[in-house]
Amino acid sequence: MRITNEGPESSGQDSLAELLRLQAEFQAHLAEETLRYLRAVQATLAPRSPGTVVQPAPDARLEATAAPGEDVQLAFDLENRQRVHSQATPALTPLVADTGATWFPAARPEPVSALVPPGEVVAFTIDVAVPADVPPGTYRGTLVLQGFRQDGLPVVITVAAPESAS
Amino acid sequence: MSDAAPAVRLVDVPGQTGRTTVSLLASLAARLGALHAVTGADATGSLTAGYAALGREVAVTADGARLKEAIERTRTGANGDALWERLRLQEWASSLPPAPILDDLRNDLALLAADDLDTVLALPPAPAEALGDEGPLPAPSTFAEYLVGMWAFAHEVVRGIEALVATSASPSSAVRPGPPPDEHGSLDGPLLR
Repeated sequence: MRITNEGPESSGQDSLAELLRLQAEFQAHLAEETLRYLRAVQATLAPRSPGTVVQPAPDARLEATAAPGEDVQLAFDLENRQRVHSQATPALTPLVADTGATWFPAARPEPVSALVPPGEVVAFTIDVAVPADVPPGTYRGTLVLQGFRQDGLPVVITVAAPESAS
Repeated sequence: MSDAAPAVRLVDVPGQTGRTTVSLLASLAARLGALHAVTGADATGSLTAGYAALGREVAVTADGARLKEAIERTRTGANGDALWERLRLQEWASSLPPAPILDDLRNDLALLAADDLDTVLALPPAPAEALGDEGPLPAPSTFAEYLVGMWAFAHEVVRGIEALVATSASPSSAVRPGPPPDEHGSLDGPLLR
C-alpha cells in the first residue's frame, strides 16, 4: 500500500483517509485471524472420531486391456482388519493417458457399497465401459474408497487400437 | 477371497485409538455432549464445512468431478454461489473446523451393527479421546463442494441403512400369501379399488 504526498492542497485529507482505511483494514484482518485461531483451538478440544486407513497390498494394482466400445472388469478383495464393521464405497478417479487425455470412467461397482464385518473379506468388481471414442493409450488413475484416509489402489487401463483389439 | 485379486485392507489409524465398540460409543457420547458447549451456529457451520470438505474429497473421483462440473455450469451453481456470497455462508463455513461427517456416520453405523453393544452399554462410560492439534483446520468452502458433499453423504446414508438390514429385508418384489377371502370377509378399502 502506498501513501502519496502528491497535491499540496489535498494531501493532508488524502493521507488521513488512507490512514483510516488502512487502520480499518488492519482491524478487520486482525479480527478475522483471531477468529480463525480460536476456531483452531476449538478443534483441538473436539472429540476424535476413530477413523480408518486404507492399506493396499504392496505392489497391488488393477490392470485391464480393452478396445474402445468394450467393457472391462476390475476386481479386488477388501478385508476389514478392524474390530467393528466398516462401510466401504469404492470409486474411480479420472484416468489420465500419457498423451494428457483425461477419461472420466463410468464405473459400476458391485456391490456399490458394503458394510464389511470385522475380520471378513468382501470381493468387489467394478465394470468399466470403455467409450467408443476414447483415444488408444495407457490410462492411469486410482481406485479410492470414499472418505478413507491415505492410499488407494493404482489402476491402469490400456485402450488398444480397434484393429489390434482382437 | 477371489483368486489373484489385489487385496486392500482397512486398518485403524496408526498411533490413535482404534475403532472398537467402546471407543465409538465414547466418541458418539462426546459428540452429543459437545453440543451443549457450542452454539447452534457453530455446530451447523461445522457440519456445513464438513459437507464441503467431503465434497472436496469426492470431487477427485470421476463421478464427483462430473457432478461438481455440472453444478458449476448450471443456474443452480450460479444461484448457489450468489446465496453463498450474499449471505456470507462462505466466510461462515470457511472459518470453522469441518466435522468428520463420514467417519461419524460410519462409526454410528458400526455401533448399530455391533454384537457387543449391550455389554459395552453396561460398562462405566469411557472418555473419548480429544482431537488435539491434529484436527482439521478451517478451509475455504465453496457452494459446489458443499452440494457434492451432501450428495455423497446422502448416498452413504442410504447404502449404510440398506446394508444394516440387508440380511433380514424381504426382496422388493416379494409376494406374501394372504388369508382366504372367506376367512376375513371381502378385501376392500381405499387402496384396493
